[in-house]
Amino acid sequence: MQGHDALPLVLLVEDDPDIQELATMALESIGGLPVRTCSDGAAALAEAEACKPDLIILDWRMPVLNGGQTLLRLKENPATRHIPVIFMTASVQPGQVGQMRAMGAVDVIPKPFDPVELPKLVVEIWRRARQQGNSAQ
Amino acid sequence: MTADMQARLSVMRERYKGRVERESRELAQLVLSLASGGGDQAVAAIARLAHGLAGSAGTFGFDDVGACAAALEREVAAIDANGKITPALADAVQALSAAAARMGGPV
Repeated sequence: MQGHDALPLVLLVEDDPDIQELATMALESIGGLPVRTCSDGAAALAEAEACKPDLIILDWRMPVLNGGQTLLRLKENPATRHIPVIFMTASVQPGQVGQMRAMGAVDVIPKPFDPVELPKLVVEIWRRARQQGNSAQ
Repeated sequence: MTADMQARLSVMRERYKGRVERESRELAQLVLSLASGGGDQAVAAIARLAHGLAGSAGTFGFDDVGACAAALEREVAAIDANGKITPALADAVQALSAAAARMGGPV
């Protein structure tokens, strides 16, 4: 774990360059979180194996592999299946959050989001996921 | 938020305003192109651009633009198979252009 107990290493997967830049600044500068970034799902699969993040934030609608397809591949891979995944999406329809959780996501952050609040929210979700993971073992 | 971060955010927001202005013009052209048989490609391009603005504008503080883009995204999803422009779709793209114009001066 590169993020140690206090702060997780985050892999942010987002194809919108403006959102990627803003979210990275918020997570790094406001939250003090180490962040790696990718712009599509296929790149995220390789980066997740390489950098071994503590948490992955996945955009839902992306080129090459969308968020759902990327999550399924991450869960199929023994090297990445344990990594908690948060979806970040503007496509939240009634019932869709439940579907995303059923796929294996630990939570869903709707867009638009408040960049100032984003780091706190991400860390809260990560800590909750880690506690649930520990209690399940 | 530190002064440095506020300055960086201000630069990002100014750049984002340029994107909204550019993409709202593109969306208006794409909606017009539906009338001349733009077809599935135009519909897909409208959906992609509207979705992107719907998800990003509010994050940069442009809630009105985000709401208009979300409305446009809903209307384009409801386009029937022959790709005809509905009054609601035309209204939605006009509303987005107006919201983009209201972003106005420095943020």
